Amino acid sequence: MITSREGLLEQHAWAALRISGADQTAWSGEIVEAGEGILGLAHWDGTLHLDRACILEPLRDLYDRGGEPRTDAELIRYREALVTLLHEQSHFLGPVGASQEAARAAFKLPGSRALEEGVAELWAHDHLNDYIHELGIEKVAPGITEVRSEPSYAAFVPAVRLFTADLDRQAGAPAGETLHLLNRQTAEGQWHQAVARIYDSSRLPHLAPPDQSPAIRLQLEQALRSSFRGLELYEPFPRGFATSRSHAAGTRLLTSLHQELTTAECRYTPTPRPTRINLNPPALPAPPGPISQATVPPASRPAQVSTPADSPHSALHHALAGVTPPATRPPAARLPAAPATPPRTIPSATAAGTARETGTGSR
Amino acid sequence: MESTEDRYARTQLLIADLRRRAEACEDPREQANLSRSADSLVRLAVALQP
Repeated sequence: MITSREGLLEQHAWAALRISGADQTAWSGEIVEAGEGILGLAHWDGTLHLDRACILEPLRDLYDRGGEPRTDAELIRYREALVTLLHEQSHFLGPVGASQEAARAAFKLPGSRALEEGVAELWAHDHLNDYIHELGIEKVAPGITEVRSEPSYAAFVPAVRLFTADLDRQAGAPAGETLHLLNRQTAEGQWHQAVARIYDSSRLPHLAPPDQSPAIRLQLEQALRSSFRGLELYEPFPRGFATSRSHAAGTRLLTSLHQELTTAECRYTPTPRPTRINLNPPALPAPPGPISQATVPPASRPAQVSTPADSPHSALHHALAGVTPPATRPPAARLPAAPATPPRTIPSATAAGTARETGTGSR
Repeated sequence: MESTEDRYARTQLLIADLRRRAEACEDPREQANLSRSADSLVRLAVALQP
């Protein structure tokens, strides 16, 4: 059991690793007391910078008064310190082989910062009680899981929540899965993972040629990055305004995303060719009695239906498969005169109507 | 296309602006929201350094 702030700081990164399911952390093990107004910062060199007044002192107080009853305001102060700790640790999480150099390069690309900060903040809030439980903090500060604190990054969090929830729905995945998966990635892999999930949840893998997949994914990624970059505009504004603008922007970007996917799916959906029926006039008078299709010589098989095998018109194709050849028609005297014109090609719907009108399909 | 130097300079201006706004806030939640956005921009500024 952890009994001091020092013990907590020793264990906190491993608890983040455990609850996230990430493969590795880039934290160097060093904590630096932050200056210059910084509350918390996961530095690219692997050091963790934490503010004394808002993070380190509340965490000391948490253990100095271990087990004592606290006010809600005190419990919220602890939660805010812990959620910042978890948020910063989530920046260090990554898959096997991830490097801070690659993450640092990717963080500079449009839309990377908004996604990474939004994911880290939202995930840290959603999993804070798991983190508290993992570190055994409920025993030190009874009631800490009963109070709530509000997320920061109001410009990013609502859009990220909408975005990741939509990806869960499209993938048929449990709520929170996309957020959890993205949180395990560094900036290098986050957009790649998000776009892969979007692409794989669409019909595009079945429609688009494999060599077109990278270009489609790139187009989706660029559009999404641009939308997320736009969220930065709301950062200087009050939380309420930033939250509502982020939510509206998230809704818009999802509308655009779905339109983009629909357009791409249509682009690669095969256009069904019209069904054609070639009607040849009967060469001979009909023999008495019904005969099977197989016994009719090819030259006297006037009705040939051609339809793409897997087209939406296949049902019509099957419906027309039972059309009796004209050779089985009643004697010619009871039929309209055979057309003197060459074989006609008519659209399927007309063909079906013609077949009915001539009585060839109703016997 | 904005150069890295220009982007770094713009990021520093944004950090300073967010810090000023945070200092002027009475609501601690507003202050935290602005300060943490500034922290994120510090992370970006460090990434932009050669």
